[in-house]
Amino acid sequence: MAIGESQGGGESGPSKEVEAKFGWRHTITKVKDDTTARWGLYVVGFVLLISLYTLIDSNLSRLTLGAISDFTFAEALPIFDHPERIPPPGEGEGHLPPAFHADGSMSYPLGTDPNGRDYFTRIVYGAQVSVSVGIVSTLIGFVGGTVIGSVAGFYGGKIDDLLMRVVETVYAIPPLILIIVFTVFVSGGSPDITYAILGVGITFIPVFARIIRSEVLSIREMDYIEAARASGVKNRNIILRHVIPNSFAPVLVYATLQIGVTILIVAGLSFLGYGAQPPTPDWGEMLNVSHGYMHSNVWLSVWPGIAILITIMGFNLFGDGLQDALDPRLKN
Amino acid sequence: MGLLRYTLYRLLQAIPVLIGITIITFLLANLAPGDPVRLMLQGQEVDEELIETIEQRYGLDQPLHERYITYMSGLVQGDFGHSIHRNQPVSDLMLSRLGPTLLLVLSAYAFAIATAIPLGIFAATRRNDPADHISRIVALIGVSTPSFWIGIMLILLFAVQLGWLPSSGLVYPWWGPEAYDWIDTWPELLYQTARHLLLPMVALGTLQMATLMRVERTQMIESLQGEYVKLARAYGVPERTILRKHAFQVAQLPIITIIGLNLSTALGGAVLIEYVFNINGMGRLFIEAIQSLDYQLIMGITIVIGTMFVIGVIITDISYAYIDPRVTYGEEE
Repeated sequence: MAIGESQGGGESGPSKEVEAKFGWRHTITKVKDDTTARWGLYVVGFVLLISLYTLIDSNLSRLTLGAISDFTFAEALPIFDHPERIPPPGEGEGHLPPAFHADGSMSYPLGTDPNGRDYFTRIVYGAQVSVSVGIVSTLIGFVGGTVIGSVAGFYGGKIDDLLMRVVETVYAIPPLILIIVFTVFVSGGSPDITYAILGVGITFIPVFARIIRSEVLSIREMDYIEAARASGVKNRNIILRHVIPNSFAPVLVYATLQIGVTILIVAGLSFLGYGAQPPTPDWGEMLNVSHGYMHSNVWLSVWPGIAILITIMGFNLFGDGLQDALDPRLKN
Repeated sequence: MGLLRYTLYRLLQAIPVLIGITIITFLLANLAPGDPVRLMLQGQEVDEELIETIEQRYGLDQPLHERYITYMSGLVQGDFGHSIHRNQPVSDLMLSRLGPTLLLVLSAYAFAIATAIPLGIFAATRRNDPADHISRIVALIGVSTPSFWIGIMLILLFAVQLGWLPSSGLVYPWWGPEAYDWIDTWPELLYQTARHLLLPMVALGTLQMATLMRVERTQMIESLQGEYVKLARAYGVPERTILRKHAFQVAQLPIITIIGLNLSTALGGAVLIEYVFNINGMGRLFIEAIQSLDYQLIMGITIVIGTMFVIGVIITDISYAYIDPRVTYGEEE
């Protein structure tokens, strides 16, 4: 398809009609009206606040990473009353059960881990790891996918064919397996969370690219693109100003749901030992450690899982609600 | 185009994907910093000559594209190469591990389909009732919970606390009762297989169940609003018959596609479930291969699992074409 690129000249503004339908204000109003999305937003907001708090509070990182804590998260909160605090058991001396247990203490609401660290603090701190992993790797996939997908969809032809073959291939290998192979080999046999984030992000680039591509394919034929072309707008500017902004809505929904999927995959990765490494307080990594204590301390395996469940559920709820809000066809 | 020709056509279409899988795994395994032999030694001190001898013996000193061609020419003859680490052909290592994984994944699917479809229909017919809301919440929890954690919780409850079911291993029915000295008869063997399979099956199948249930509910709701349902109602066809005959069949078609595509998640999940439940399948072999950085074995497993997914998708495509008379066997792409 020959597209006039040399003419130059004025650029037309974004189509008002389309903007009204997919615009940000419209989306926000819809989300506000949708119960599911609102609840999702509350949960996501809660988890985000916790991660922000742990990011700011440097005391916390000291005591979650250190072997034995001299201060617990519960003590920092005024809601707990704990006058006589018992010292935590040392490394290898066994671990405290949760507070509701007869041997438990309110200083350690969820007990301590096998290293004597306060489990509640580590669970709280784990939010930061999970959320940043989810958001950063989704962003990598999102940005990479948007660039590749919009170029492939807009120009079509060989680039498009190649992209579709790559997408089909990447689809065929289960993400967990592909990411483990990537993480282990690219890191040269010493995987950690950075490689995991990179691996997840890169693996999902083709998936995002495919969604953007199909959106672009339908937008490409719109009248306003034709108008922009006729008035001589450069292809690059058509993609940046018209194609990408207008294909945004469905990708945004997908990205939100993808954050949940990413957290799920990275939890599995860390559980197997190919994601976050100790002493990073990651929920998957904590489940990996507690797997060895399934008979002696049942609760160690329970809490991180609940934390993962709540976080992912928040993102899923929000994504579902967003989908309802943006796609009225599904609503009734 | 007939069904047979369509099948052939789909198989031919899968070839570029299969080649793509080999390229991706080959590149990942070979573009790693450091050569495979040194990587496999994981920092152990070995003299240079020995490394060179090993590299020469396995052709690792050749340029990348030549190694790929050598690998591929072996692969088309069914030769997956030789595991340097285990000193065994990769195909031998994988063959005995295929059965447990297939048994696990297929039973998880059976569990998911058997529970998701009735529950999805139930929710769709009682739309916005408390029952519908509960089922939606259950489905939401199902898609938000890591399968391996469900596995751990099931072990803690049914194996550790209650002691009702075994927490690890599988009993393979294809070995026959003779292979187990604690099992005498066939019914007992099958009973033991079921007992061992129950927890991993539920753990792996829950995510599939929740996904399918959500789709089934949406599809049924959409299907029940169709013109043909309205017409059937106008003719006074009983609601049960409408549900069973008119709405149900149409709603099942997207489910078949989802089942095929979700195979990828299920195969990935099998890695975690086999690890948690100590099942000697492909997933566990993959973990073992990764732990020892046995790159020939890793490539073999990735290719086999990718192929399993491709075959699964082809099977669902064909059954789709078989069930839905409107599909014209891919004459139009």
